[in-house]
Amino acid sequence: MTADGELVSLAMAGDAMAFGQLVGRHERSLRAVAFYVIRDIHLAEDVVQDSFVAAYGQLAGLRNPSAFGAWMVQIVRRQAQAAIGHRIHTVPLDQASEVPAIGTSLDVDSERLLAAMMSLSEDERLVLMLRHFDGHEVTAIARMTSAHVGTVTKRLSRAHAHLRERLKECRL
Amino acid sequence: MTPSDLDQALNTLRNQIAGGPSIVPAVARRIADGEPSQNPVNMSAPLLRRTADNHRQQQRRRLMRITISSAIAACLLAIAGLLWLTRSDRTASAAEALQQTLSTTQGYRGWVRIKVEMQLDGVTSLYDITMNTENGQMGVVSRIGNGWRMLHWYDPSTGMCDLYSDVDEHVLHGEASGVPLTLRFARLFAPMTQSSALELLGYLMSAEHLEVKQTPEAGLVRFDVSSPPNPNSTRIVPLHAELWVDPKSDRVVKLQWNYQKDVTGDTSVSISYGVEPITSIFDLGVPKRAIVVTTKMTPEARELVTKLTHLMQATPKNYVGMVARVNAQTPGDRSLVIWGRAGDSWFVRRYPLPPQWPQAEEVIRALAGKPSNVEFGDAQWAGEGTWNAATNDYRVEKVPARPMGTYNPYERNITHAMYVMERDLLDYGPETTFSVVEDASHPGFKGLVLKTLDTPNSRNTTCTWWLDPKQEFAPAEMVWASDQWPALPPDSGPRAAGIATRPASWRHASRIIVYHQFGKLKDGTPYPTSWTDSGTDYQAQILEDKKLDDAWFKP
Repeated sequence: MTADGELVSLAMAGDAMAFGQLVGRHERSLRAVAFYVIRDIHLAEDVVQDSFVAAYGQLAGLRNPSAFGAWMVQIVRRQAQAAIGHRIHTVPLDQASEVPAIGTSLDVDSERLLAAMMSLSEDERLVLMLRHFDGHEVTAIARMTSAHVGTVTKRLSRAHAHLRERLKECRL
Repeated sequence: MTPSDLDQALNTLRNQIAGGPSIVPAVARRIADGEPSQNPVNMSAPLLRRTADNHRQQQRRRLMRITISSAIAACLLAIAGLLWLTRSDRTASAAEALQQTLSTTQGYRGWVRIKVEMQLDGVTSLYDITMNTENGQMGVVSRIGNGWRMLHWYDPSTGMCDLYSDVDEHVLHGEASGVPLTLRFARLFAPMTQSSALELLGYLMSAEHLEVKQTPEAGLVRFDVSSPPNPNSTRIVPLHAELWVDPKSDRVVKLQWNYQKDVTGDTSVSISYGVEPITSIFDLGVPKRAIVVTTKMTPEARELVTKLTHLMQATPKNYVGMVARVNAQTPGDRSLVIWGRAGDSWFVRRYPLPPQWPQAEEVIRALAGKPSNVEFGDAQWAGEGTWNAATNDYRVEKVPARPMGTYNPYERNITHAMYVMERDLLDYGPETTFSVVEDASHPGFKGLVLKTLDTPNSRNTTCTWWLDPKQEFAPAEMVWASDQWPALPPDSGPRAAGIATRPASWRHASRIIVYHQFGKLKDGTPYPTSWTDSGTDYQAQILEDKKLDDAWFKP
């Protein structure tokens, strides 16, 4: 598997297919990031699409190409925040019952899991999401992020441990 | 949670929020269509090389910073340890060290997160408070028993409060009377929804025969604080408390205590400093899809609330006042309360009521030096009354003085007894709506209607004040009714279940107060001198600038 950094270089050199590979590698994780902010699956999908398109034009600004995943998380967060800025509904009380709730409800357990996941450190969250959301094996994640397999394994293990701890703590 | 459970949960979450078809084709199409306008293709090879070089330099710098900062931290830790040992061994007793620690903790300015778990009578209450001790912004997530989760966001800079509960997906956004106090609360480390952990501990610390032990434990300093149980006490006070202090910051990071008397269970608190700031209720976990419902007052309602609030809080700096009550339906249910205030000193004393309606001057002459049931003074509690409903026994327990910091000052004023429903007016939040009405049955009057919306663990109420524009908007009548049932989840805990099993008389209660006559203070502010509250008659009198002996103000 080609490292993210190399794919970024290829994309910058005009290889649109390489950029497509990057999109395919990270899209699920990024949808979760967007969903966490915006709480709407369809809007989250739009935000991630917009973010990839915007990122394609900003690849020259990416100082560390191997950190593409973390860089995209920042872009998606910004885009999602901007999107919700325009959609918070404020209504008078007498109209409140007529306005349907927007977006998607998660059950309590999933809400807690998502919140716990988003509270992990950037490194831990990235490997966890690449593993469980984008479905990459540890060796593939190591190649993508130009890290040692041992490092990725440790991060993933720590991420699991922290996630379990936080779920245990998070009873509210 | 086992690893396979976690794996399964992550898989479920992934399918819920990140499943569906890939967006690769859509992104590819948009890029092929010329989006975005800035294309990366022409980036030159030298720029790529420069980027890689920069990256390597940054890594070297980061490595140096880590090495240097670790060394500094180790030195500081060693110095802090030495200072701590020096102070605790040579210059301060454990109790003094703990007092200093409490002071340092309350002196912290910045974002703090306080997680509280209280267990009382088998009910667990959880509070997760994130607050800024500099500006009073405060977010509170709370759950009592298995009841609904409630989230509050207080912002003193705007005077507004947001309230969200799991009952529905609405954020109520409106004024809250407590918001201006949040800065005061935050600086006392006293979250709005519970007693201050540190204040309570300070109270415990002031007890007689206190024992404080100090021992190192897992890199922290542990204090054990004990006071002997008082068999005569009728109050719920902590019996034993443990604190853990970070020796580096000299701040409390964890504490727990248990209670004496018939209350079982204990409370544990953890405190984190310098946490991530909260900027809105959405940062507390409110779904972004939630609808924000505004309950802000209209200008007309705000004007009436301001006028009525002024009446309810207006008392002279120096006065003696009397409120006498007779419940004609219950023989013996009659009492007399004398209120006194001289600048910042004040008292409230209760006495039996003479056979006739008294005059304040006569009463004060007759009661000078006589014992009374409840005593307060010098802006501190010097005693606290407890009332046993079963035996109708009203007792005063002498307790150490403690600051009045988190209490509303209006409770020290005689107007507190005249407008007994003022809590409904002065303690409002975004769940309260205000409207102004007129009615043919109250010609010439303005009706100020307060409705409490459906929130967990409370009943819905409507309170209407009929105000007389010809009498400085003094109330002529107040009608209060609880007519609806609060929304409680089916698996509510014992406390919520307690509410659910309240009798219908509690649910469908009502109260009517009719104000008959008003006197006037020197500045023209009216105050009621005669009124009837659901069958009980009251008379009141205020003697402005009347000075009493110091003995009245002392326990």
